[in-house]
Amino acid sequence: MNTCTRAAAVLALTLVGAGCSDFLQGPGLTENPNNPTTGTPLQQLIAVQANMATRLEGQLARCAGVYTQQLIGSNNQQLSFCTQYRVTESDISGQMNGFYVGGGLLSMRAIQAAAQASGDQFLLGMTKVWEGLAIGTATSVWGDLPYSEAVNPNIAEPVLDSQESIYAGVETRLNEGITALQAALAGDTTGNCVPAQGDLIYCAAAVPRATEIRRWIRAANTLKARFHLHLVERHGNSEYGLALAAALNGISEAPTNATQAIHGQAVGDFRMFHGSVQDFDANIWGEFLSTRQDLVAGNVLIQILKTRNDPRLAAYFDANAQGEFVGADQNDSTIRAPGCPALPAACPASVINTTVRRQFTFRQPIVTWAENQLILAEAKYMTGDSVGAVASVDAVRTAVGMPALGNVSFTDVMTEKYIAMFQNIDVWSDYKRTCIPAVTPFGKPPAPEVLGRMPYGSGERTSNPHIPLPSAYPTGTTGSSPVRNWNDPNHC
Amino acid sequence: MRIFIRPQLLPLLELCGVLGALALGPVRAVAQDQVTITGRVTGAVGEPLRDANVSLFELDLGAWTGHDGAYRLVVPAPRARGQQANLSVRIIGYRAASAAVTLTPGASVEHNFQLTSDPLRLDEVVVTGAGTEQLREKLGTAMSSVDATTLQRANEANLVQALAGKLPNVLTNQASGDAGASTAIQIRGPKTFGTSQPTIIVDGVPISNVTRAENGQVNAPLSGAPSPNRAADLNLDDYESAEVLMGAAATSIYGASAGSAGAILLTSKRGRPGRTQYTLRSTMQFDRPVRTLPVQRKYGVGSGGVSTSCFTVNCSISSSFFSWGPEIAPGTATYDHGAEIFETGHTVENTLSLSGGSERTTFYLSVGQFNQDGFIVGNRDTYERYTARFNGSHTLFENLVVSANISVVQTKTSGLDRGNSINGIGIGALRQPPDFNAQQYLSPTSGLHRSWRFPNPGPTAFTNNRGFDNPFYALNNDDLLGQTGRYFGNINVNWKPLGWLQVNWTIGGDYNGDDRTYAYAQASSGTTGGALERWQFYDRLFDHTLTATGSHEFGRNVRGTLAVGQNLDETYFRQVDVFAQTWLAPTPFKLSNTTTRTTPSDREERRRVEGYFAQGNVDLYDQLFLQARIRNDANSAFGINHQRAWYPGGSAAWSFTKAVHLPEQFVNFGKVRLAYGESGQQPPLYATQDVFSTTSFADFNPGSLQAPNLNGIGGLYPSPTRGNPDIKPERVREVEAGVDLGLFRGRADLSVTRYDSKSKDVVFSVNLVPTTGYTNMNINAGELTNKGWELSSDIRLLQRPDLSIDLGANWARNRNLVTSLGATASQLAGDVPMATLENCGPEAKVPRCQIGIGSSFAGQTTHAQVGYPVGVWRSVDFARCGRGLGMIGNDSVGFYCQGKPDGALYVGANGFPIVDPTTRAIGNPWPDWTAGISLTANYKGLQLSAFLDHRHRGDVLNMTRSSMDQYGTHKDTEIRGQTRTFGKDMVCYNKTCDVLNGPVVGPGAGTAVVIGESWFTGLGATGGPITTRLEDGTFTRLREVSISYSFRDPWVSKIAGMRQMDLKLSGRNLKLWTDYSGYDPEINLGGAQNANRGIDWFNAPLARAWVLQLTFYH
Repeated sequence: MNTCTRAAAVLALTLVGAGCSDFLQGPGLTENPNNPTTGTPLQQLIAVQANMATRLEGQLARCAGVYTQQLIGSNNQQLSFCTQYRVTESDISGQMNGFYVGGGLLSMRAIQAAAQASGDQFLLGMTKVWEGLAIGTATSVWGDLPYSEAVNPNIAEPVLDSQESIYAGVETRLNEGITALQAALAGDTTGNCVPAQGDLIYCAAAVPRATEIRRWIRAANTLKARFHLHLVERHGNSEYGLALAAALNGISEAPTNATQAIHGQAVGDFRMFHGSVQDFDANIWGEFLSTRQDLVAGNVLIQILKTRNDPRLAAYFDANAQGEFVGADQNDSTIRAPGCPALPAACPASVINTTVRRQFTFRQPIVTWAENQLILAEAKYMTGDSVGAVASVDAVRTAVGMPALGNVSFTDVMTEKYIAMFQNIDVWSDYKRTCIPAVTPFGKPPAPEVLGRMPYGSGERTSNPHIPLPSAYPTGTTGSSPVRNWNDPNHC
Repeated sequence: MRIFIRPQLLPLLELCGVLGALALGPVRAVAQDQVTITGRVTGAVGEPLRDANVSLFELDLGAWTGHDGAYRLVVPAPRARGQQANLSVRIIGYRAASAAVTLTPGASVEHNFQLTSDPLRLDEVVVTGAGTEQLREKLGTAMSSVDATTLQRANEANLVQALAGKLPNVLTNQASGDAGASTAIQIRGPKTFGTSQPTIIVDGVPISNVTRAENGQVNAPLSGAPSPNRAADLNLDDYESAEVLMGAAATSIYGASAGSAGAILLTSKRGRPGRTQYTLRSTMQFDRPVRTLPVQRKYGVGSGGVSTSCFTVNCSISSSFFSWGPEIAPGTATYDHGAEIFETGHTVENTLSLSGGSERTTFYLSVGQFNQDGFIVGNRDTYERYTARFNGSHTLFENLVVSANISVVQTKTSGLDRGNSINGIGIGALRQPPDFNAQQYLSPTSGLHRSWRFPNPGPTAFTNNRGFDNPFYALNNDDLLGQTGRYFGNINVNWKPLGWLQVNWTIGGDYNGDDRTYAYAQASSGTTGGALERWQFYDRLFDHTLTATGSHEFGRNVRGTLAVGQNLDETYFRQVDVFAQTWLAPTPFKLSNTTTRTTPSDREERRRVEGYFAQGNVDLYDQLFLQARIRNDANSAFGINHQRAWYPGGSAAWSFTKAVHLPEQFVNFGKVRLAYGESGQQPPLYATQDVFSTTSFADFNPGSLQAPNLNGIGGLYPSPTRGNPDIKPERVREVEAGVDLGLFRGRADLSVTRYDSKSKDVVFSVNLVPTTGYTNMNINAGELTNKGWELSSDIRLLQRPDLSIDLGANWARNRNLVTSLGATASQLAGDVPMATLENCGPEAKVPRCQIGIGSSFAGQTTHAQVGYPVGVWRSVDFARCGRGLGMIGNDSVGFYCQGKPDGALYVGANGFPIVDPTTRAIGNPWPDWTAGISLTANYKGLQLSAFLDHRHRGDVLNMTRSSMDQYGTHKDTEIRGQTRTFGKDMVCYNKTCDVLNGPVVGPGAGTAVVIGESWFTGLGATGGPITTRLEDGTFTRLREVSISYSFRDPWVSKIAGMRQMDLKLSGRNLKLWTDYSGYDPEINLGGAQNANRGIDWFNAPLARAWVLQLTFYH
């Protein structure tokens, strides 16, 4: 072997491996081995519903219940965020983001595009309804929000739309949803629905497909009615007329027994299926309360239920160790609330019923027949049909086992709805516009008013220059943002 | 030149010789015409030099001197042909020397060497990375070295911890004193926003030093059981030296594969021709915590001085009650919950090594055993390590040497939750009221877990909430085990096909399986009926490096070498885990014994690097040494458009005393050096792609989760992290310059280095506007600088044949500064001003002045902020003057601050400070400077050494104290009910005194107020600004002391023929001087993560250790 041969051999050895073109690219290298890179519309629809369960049964609903004093946050975050109105931008950021990022509006729009492309009107309709519910709820919580420019890949910093225009957009989405669902109804609806096709609201076993679609249409109408009521403080009675018209096409399948009525479990009620595994597929209320004992009954709701001798008292709450139903005071959850026995007996506040509503598989009511009935009642009442209002209120009362009333006041209507909407996020909206029931805000006089909105999430505020700085809010507002939204001009 | 070709069978026979060497002992070449060279190597004052290497380089023959400095080298007959050969001697710390000898067959030659001192170790051959090596004199960069003696001086079990304080700008942080706790290391400051730990390279092949937290992530989380950094798997006995490449100027030859954080090059011990040497080392160690925390023992549980009685079965003490109850009745037993969970820990370590070989075949074999039972009561904090290493080398042909090194390690770590865990013993112990007898952790009636919040469990209370675990319940019932099996090593072929050409091929691997079973017993808090976390991690690494080095002399005064090489490298990580809840029976802790199991999760990561490099050296007139190097790397983690990157570097070193005559009695050697280099840091894997997620949706913190599956149907949603196809490596460019001086005829040396590095394209997760549908994306937009000085000096105070005293010192400082975080869309469009050093300020109001990079936890959030060091804490503070404050609520802060000193505390009308709601940069965990001083004295066989370590400033968030204050358990809270005045006599600790007892203003200034529950559960502790827990972390510690004696008397050899026996007594952390009020300012819950430094939150303390060691040499 001469010198040149040896040098060539060395060079050849040095270049060993250089020819492996797939050494650096491919699955597990440039392609992520851990996450799928595509998701079907069906898979995304499931995620949308799981995500929305987390929004509608999670912290927003807990605070809504505490702001209206159905419940009281007694410890930790539930005490500071909800009871004491000290929720901050960073506290609520994840909740706000959840309405937009994967599982939120981004996924809803992706599913809609796919459904439109494939002509799947049912999928399109369901997802439009979900968008209406999500964005309508979000604007009721935060007011002005990015919407028309949101989840647009070409827009890095979406502008805020006015709350008024967002509600108009929500109405449009729900109408589009109804149109698509009606188109689906006009198509082939033979046979029963198939749970594997992704509807986790109405597709129980052996539900005919046409029934399933009609229930979606009715729920969409109830939602339209719900959001029209959100505008009554600004737009006056015309919104009652619109709400009435929508609710007449709303959820109409009455509960078949008192238990269904009490817990919003009628077949037409909009509820998500849940499983039994903690931190996996259980209902969020149940999960939260099983690990955190930070929420107890609020005295306002307890007293209302006690005064009426309402069967929902024992259905909603557990009696305490002394056998008493006790609600906590917003200013001090540890004080001896009315109903407590004489000292020295201990007397803690009641907690949410463990045998029904805290069961992991409990299907938390989101939009119900009772809500629709009470929307009808309110709208009829406000549009002069007090007889019709009584009928709607009594439909709900008798369904739960309460005696019918001969006539009703507006307070009766709203009190009835306050009870029926237990653990529902929209109870907060009803309170904000009607101030029923009367609650004493947290704090000593001059007490702040009950919080009427959540601050924008810190994720959005720090990255989107269109979100106003706290200093840019009108004078006279408190905290890091105004306490009320545009649709809520009058404080209670 | 001709290759010497043997008959084909000979190589096989030679390989058999390796086995023969092991089985039968060293093989000796015996021939009548061999040449025997003998002699003695001594130092400047005649002291015998042990372990000097005497060699005939041309013949690849060498020998080592014994303890008397004598050596014996035999040249086999066929190779002694009467020629002249160059006999040279090398030993660290002395200049090399050589002499010509004539190899007359059959002759005996005697040659003695007297070497001069070389404190700068200029003649040491050091590895410089990627298969290259060089004489230290020719290096153009600072390279710090630690030899085996220094590494083992105080018997640290963990390689990284053994480096603590010994080198300038090499900063280590031990997470805690738990058995098996990790130590993080950082060289010349943080180069990135994530983790910047140096790569560890053993015999040319990188090995894993990852610290896998229980969730598999590489950054230690703020809770969980201690996990070792994997360099703790190394038996330090197996290594003869560690070279530390300090920065990019030295590491550019590694490109982005070794990262930008420097490299530690370890050389393992090799066998030496000659008699087989046996060394047996036995060590006993005793540990105690450096400190315990002071607790109050006067007040019981309750609120407002009123007791919260809980005597009935299954009663609970509400989470709103702490130790703010009434004074405990005289005669009632109280307990020191700060101390009762500790005992004296002990460790037994034994290492046996054998080494030897013939001229052609050498071997080194060691086995080691390390068993530690830490200082937490009981035996659930243990660390066991069993190691075996075999290094073999065989000269197959005259020009071809093959060698193989293999290490086998098995470890078992048993620990307890620390940090933020309600199952942890820290939180469990230190929040207990003093009159709760925690040691009675089981109810005497029901036999079930009793905690202070649930003191009377009834017979069926298996799953009732305990609030926090009783620490003794956790100590006796939880079982958090980590077991690893690891193999790492390499095969090396060194071929010299031509006189001027050398080819070196190394192929190596590192395989580690880490199996964790974290079992929380049936009545543990936070779980329903107990829980099991099963984690399995696999780390694999494969590395191939092929280097060809050619050298040539261009005339007498110009020599050059050129090395070209190729490197292929793959790292692979896989994790599989499953959680389970609710034990069916209390034991065994197996998945099959649980009622609920969550879906297992599974993750893998694979990264490949294909690199080519070249390095050229030119030596001019034996005094000017130039080097240029270049590397081109392709990395699978880079965006497809940036898959290749160049990393250039170069250096110049001039031994100027060879050209400029300086008075030798003052300066006997001088070198100036200048170097530049670029290195990289790879971005996160798979950051390029948009993917779908299956992660659960979070309700709230603390809240509940919803998997994206409902009703048994799986769901997917777009990950909120947007892919960035343009992601590319981070870049670090570093310039360093320095001077190395040998002074006073080698009695002292001084090295000074200045460096200036700039990191560009630093990857961080930028927040996207969530209403776009995405919350974040990894981008290359960060820029930061590290600038600093390093000084080190050794002074041989006394040098006599039987007495020497050396003093070593190092001092370093690093200034880290984030200079840019890029720009938002609005800033790029010119609608919003860009963030600059001038307009950011502490409040960082302009976008991209700061980004959160670490955890947000109990009032601290860690950030990269323009104009501040990486990891700065942002939080609110009390209202203080000098910040341009006006009205805060109804308080006219601006009015009262007029003409008052900056920093003065505003005290409201009620006598208490108020909170300024503005978030600003408020604390910085990095020290201003660090220093170490070592003293070594030798008198005959007696050696004494001591090492002092100082860290100056650097904030620590003492959230442990803050939380104990809130719970009313810290000794501080005994002042409850007393009146104090802000600005005058508030309880405070070092830096907090500047705030609470500094100048005050405002309507309530000077007002005495009652300090009690409302202060400590509100503004004064975790409920208030972090100001009250932000302490100065300055410390000086007597890190190591050792005294040893070598017995070489005749009686020693009578014991089984030993030639020497060493007895050593050493101590670690024997004394700590600090004003810090917690355990120790060095502990850090956040481990290696840059962003989570300086966090004290219910960590375990560091250990004070006493070590007794016996070493037998045969």
